Amino acid sequence: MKGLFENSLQLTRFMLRRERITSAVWIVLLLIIVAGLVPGMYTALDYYARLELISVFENPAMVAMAGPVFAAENPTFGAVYANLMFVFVALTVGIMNIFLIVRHTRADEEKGRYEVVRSLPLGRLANINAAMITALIINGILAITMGLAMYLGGMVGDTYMCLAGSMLWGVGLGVTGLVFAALTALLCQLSAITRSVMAYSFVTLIVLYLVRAIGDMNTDLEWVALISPLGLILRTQVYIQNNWWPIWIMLGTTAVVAAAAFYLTSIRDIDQGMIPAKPGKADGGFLLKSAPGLTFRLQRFTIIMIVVGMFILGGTYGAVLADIESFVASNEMYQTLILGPFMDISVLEGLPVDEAIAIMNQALSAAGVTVAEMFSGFINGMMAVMGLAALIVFTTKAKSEEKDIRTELVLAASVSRTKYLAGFVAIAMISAILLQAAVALGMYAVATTTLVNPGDLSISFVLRSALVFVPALWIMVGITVLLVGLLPKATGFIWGYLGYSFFMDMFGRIDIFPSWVARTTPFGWVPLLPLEEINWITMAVKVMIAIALTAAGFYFYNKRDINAVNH
Amino acid sequence: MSLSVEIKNLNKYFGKFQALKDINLEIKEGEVFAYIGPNGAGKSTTIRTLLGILQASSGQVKVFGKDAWKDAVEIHKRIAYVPGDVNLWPNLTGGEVIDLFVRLRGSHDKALRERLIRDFNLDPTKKCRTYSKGNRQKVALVAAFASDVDLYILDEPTSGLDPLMEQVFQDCVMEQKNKGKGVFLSSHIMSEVERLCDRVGIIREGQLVEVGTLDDLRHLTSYTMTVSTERPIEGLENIEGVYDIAKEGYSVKFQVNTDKMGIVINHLQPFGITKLESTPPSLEELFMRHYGATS
Repeated sequence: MKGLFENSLQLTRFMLRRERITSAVWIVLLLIIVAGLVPGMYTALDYYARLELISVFENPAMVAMAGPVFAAENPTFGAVYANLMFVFVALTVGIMNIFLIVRHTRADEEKGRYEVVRSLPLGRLANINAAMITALIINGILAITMGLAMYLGGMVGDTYMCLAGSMLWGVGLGVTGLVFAALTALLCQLSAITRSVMAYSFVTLIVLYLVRAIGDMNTDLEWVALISPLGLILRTQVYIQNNWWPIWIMLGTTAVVAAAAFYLTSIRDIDQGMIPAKPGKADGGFLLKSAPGLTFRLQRFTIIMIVVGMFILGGTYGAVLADIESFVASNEMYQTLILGPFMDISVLEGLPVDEAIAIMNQALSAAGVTVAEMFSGFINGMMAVMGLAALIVFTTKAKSEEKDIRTELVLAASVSRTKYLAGFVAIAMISAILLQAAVALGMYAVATTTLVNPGDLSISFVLRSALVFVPALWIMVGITVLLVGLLPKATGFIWGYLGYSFFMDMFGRIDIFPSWVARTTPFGWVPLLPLEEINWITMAVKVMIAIALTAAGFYFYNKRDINAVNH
Repeated sequence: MSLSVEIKNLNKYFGKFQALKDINLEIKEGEVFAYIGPNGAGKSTTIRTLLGILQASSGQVKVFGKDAWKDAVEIHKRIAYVPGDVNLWPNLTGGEVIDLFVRLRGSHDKALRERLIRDFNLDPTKKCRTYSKGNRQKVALVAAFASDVDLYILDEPTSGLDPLMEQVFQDCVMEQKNKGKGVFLSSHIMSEVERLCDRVGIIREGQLVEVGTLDDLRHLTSYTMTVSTERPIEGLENIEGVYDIAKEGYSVKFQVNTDKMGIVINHLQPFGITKLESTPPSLEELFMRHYGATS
């Protein structure tokens, strides 16, 4: 049997070397975001704020999202912070491990790199073994550094973040990572196609998240939540009871699942999966009659997934709306964002929540708006910038097709460049409307069931406050088209501009910058509903700018060499 | 007869690098033209300029009398293109890609498509990501030959095919040739070129160094002669255009320039020829001479 694992450790060293940047970036970012936030959050969340936060998170919709609240009895900072963050951080660690394992097993195999490795004197299970050892080491590093970082971060004050609890938090995340590493290793055996195993892994992740939500929402069914590592991890009750038993269960699960993955690897052929690839269609469907049809066909699955995703995302914000009054009344940042334009928020300071809400609603109704409207207007703006990422991907697909030398095949088959590019641009432009509408509808659908007073939010308002961003999105798409046409090697610039826009969209509204700075992005020119009125002239100007940028992009695309990106 | 391809003083720069230098070339309609040269000589650049995918830095490129850059879409209705390295969409099947290309070119002959898929022994239900290089080439070749066009532009189309499929490919080209269709074939496979092509152009470091029929090209070079005589041959070394003489008893092997053939035969006559063999240079040798000329 020794022969099966021959040279695993050599291969592990090689994998760790390949991981030295990617995994290091993941771990450092996690440390900064999770432990680095502790001092800031500690000052922001005083005792009363924590009580308020707990009341928000005890809402069933929030329990479904973040898990049950265990910290209510003794809401120390550490207990509350760990309780409410655990599921999301664990999810992120799970995603990190899915990418890690796929990268070193199925992706390498599909690309043909594994074949080369297998020709060396290695055991048949050496590669998957090395991948799991690599995951063990990387999750181990994450566990220890995260534990220490939390402990150090907790030293800023009276956080009750003891060393034992901090280490349990770190180890909990590392072990969750290992479970997902093992699950991914198993799923990698199912299909020969990297994209498929990636999809299986993410579906598994989502299913485990939903299973946990079902168990957490129904106290009678709590055992259901324990099926999922995301449910188990919360039962450690870090900084409350510091339970270690979930860790042992997850380590056991990892061992069993990994053994199954090893077994399947040992009985299958290279480049094969346990689920045989089923034959596809022998003939082209009706979409494959034109270049734009091809472009849509290539991306339709992605488009549908993103539209559904935006709908769900909108829905989660719709769920939050139920408690939005007490949330805004107790959160200074949201007070600034949402109430700032109407009142002096300093009068709310130190007031009990009920009184704050009363004052707040008085100020808002005097202006003829509701908190729900303010909040949905704000969220729609954030979602617009997020959805923009998808629009950029749809547009720059024209360039990645060119880079993969497939564009010339289509152009050589009697397709004009204008028509070819138009397919990509049309998808992006139409998606701008679809994504915004999906967020709005998702939010409205859930909000009508959770809002105490559903009349606070009308469908027409939600749609208007979302679609008002469409011309700004079109300008961003127009800039991307111009880059694809004029400076195809520099299309990455648009991502930087997107990041800048996101930053400006978040902070440009709380007047820390002069107003002209916020107006350096198209989003700075979008009226904030219900605060501002829609100005149809600026809307029309924005549409014309978008058209001009897009037209210029087409002009230059028709004038340049194709494949020049490769030279 | 009208021209299918007309290139005048074509130059192409990528930044400062000059990929094509003053190319002049005319190809008649219905002609099978081979375009050969070492890797990186500029074959694919010429082809992409013909397709209007690259723009000429200077000079004129016309296909069927139309400007290759400006009228690309019109021209492409009469053209089928197969690249040497076929990149396909990993999540479409071969059959889907074939239909896409055939329809984009505006033709639709289901029976022909089925016959070609059978001849090339291709499984059209597989996703392109699972195809080997040879199978991806088959997809592009089936899509090309299933289209009703007047000129096939093929850029090393058989580099991944096995000998059996190579034969199928040659039959397809012959079929098109007999139908009066033109082919612009870039290739490294000399037997293919020798069998299929009417004329050959050799490109080297961006310059077209030779264009002509195989006979024309041979005319400029030398034949290998092996002669046996009754008496030892003398004085051969004094004839201009004869070299590489190797004597072995009454048998002599030497190279002779094509234009000196008559003089040499006259010189040999008196020695009593018993056996005479004359071998034209193979295309392979012609290339080696051109490829290696200055390097």
